[in-house]
Amino acid sequence: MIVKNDHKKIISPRILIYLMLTIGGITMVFPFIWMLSTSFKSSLEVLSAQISLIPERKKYIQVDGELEQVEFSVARELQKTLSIKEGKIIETFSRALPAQSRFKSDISNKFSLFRVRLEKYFHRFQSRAEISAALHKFGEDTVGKLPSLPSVRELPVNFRRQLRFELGDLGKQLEAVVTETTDSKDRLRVVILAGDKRGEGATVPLDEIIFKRFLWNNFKKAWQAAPFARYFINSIFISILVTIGQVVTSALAAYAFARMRFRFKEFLFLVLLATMMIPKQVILIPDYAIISWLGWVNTYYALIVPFIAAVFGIYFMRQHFETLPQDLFDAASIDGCGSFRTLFLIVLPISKSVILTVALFTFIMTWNSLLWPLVMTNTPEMRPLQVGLAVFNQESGTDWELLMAASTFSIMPLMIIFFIAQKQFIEGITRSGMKG
Amino acid sequence: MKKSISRIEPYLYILPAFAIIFVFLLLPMFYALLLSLFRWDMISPRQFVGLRNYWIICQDTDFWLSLFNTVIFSLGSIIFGLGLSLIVAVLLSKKIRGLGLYRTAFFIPYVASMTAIAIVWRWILQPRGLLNIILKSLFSLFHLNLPEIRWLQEPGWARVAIIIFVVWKTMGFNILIFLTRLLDINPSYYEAADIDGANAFAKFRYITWPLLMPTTLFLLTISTIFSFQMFIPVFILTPDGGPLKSTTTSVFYLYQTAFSNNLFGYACAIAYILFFIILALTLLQKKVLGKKAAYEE
Repeated sequence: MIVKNDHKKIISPRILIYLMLTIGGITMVFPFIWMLSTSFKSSLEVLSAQISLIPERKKYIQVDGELEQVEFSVARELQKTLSIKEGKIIETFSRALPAQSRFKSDISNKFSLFRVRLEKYFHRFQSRAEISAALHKFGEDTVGKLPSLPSVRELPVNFRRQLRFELGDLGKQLEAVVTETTDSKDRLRVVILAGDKRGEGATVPLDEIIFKRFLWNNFKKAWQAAPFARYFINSIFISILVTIGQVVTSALAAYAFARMRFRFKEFLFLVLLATMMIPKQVILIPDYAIISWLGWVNTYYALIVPFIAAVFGIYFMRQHFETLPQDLFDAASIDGCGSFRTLFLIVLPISKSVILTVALFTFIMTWNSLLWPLVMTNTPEMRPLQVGLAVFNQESGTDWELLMAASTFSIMPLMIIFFIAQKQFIEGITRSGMKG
Repeated sequence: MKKSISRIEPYLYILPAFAIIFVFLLLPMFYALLLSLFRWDMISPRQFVGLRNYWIICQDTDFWLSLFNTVIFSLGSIIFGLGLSLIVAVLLSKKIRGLGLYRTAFFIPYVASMTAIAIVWRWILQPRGLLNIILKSLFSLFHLNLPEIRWLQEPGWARVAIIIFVVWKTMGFNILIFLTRLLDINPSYYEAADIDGANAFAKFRYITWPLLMPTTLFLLTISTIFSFQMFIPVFILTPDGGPLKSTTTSVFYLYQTAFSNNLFGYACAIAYILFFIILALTLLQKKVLGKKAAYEE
């Protein structure tokens, strides 16, 4: 009886635990999904207020070798071409409207017909012929039949709005067909808004419309928008050299501190530990002064040399070296191994996991650092990835799809390392208590 | 001959590391103190001003604002960050299925490089960004109309935004440390408590919490230091220091003072004051919480 009760008690909080953890987990991961999703979208879709994780299928045309989204489009009847201009009004049909009396209802009817046609055909347009047929029908059925009547009346503003609204519910297929009057005549203009971001007009044949869902091209565009290849090479080069340097100097120092006797050993180690208390930003300016005195500003030296030794590595390795059995060193000594050879031939090979942890963390910290390289470099050629990315962030303000694409390929390398070395990583953090 | 080599040998081993640490860490520490007594723009010769830089700092409202912002960020990110992390860690320690998957999910933000993921959050925090869309649809479930929050454009919200980002980014680390400790706690404590008829809350209050104290103290210290050194989130999310300087942290102010306004001596004085504040905070935490952290298993 008691057991049964207990069982009941446990079940419902269990579900609650899973629910909370799942919600939390999704919150943690969602920004990454959003980043990935945005980096495949077009600049127009990025601005839509819907949360669409998988980009929609969109129409594109090629302008100057680049894909430009054509979100709202109606083909010009005669030329069978598309006119593209964002935010500007391009006329498609220009017909004079009938006299005032029946005019409103007439036009409304025509437009609803037009809309039905478009709803039926527009999202399926794959070729010039199809669009042409649809437009032809539209012309025949509606505006084409209207008599040409010159008039001096202007359309009332609210009427325009109403039409805009009515057509707006076509949604994705046709959002921006609006009417406009010109030349002080009652003329109906079916108007196109389309997605050329630079606002330049372009005319292309309809069968050049391309249907696409994922814009892989964004990655290429982002990659070329700034010298990312150079940034990557810099970061890899710097991180690898710093890592090697730090592992070597740390191993040497840690070995001496763990296994040798010398004067001032305790004192020197205390000095080392004390330097751990020095916050990075306190020494940033004097270091900058030192580095500019050395003539190293904007060179690899400035980004590498100051980091080829760190207390963290020494401390971490010393802890490990101290746990090694003394017999090992006695045996090595009997075999005539000097301490240098003992270190490299015996100690390091059996300390692989510790070395790997130190290397991993050094690499990641170097790869991720921003403030130091930001201060020490001043030309694009010398920038490591993080600085390049930060500059790109400031320069390309709101090109979100490009910013997300750049973030994606910048995040990837460490993510891959993490998934490969996850165990090492987590172990290293829990043992050393590193916080980025 | 051989003997003298073996006498200096240990020093040769520590020499490379010490040389670097001396030149780029220890020496600059004293150099900064010296520089803080000068007016210097790195071009014209240094001008000795004594303690005037420190005197100016006392009257520099921008500096105090930046310190205030830093304190707000620290408090916000530590309270929410550690609180939420503890909750998640306790939930994760309940012998659940798919622990690895959940742990990875919570840990991933910590792995992502700060700069890149901060850019993603700048996008999420736009007036028409993801967060507002989600909040708006959540509110509309209850038929409430939520006005567009301008996260990064209004002083109050900008601070909240930075805290949200930092909590999200660093939670994985805190969870991992808490979780490791929680899984280490000897289950016999809980078994004994079960026999005594303790409920879940009592178990947490009288077993988990005291045993976690050293871990909490450790995380508290490390989070304080971390948030006092915060630079990247501010630099990426609000590159100009935020609306009305509301997100200008001390380090960001230091960076601006030195590298935008070329007041290197003054910046060194700021750095030193910051150093002492961090040091004092660390020691204070050790003292106040150290006594309570005396539990050992």
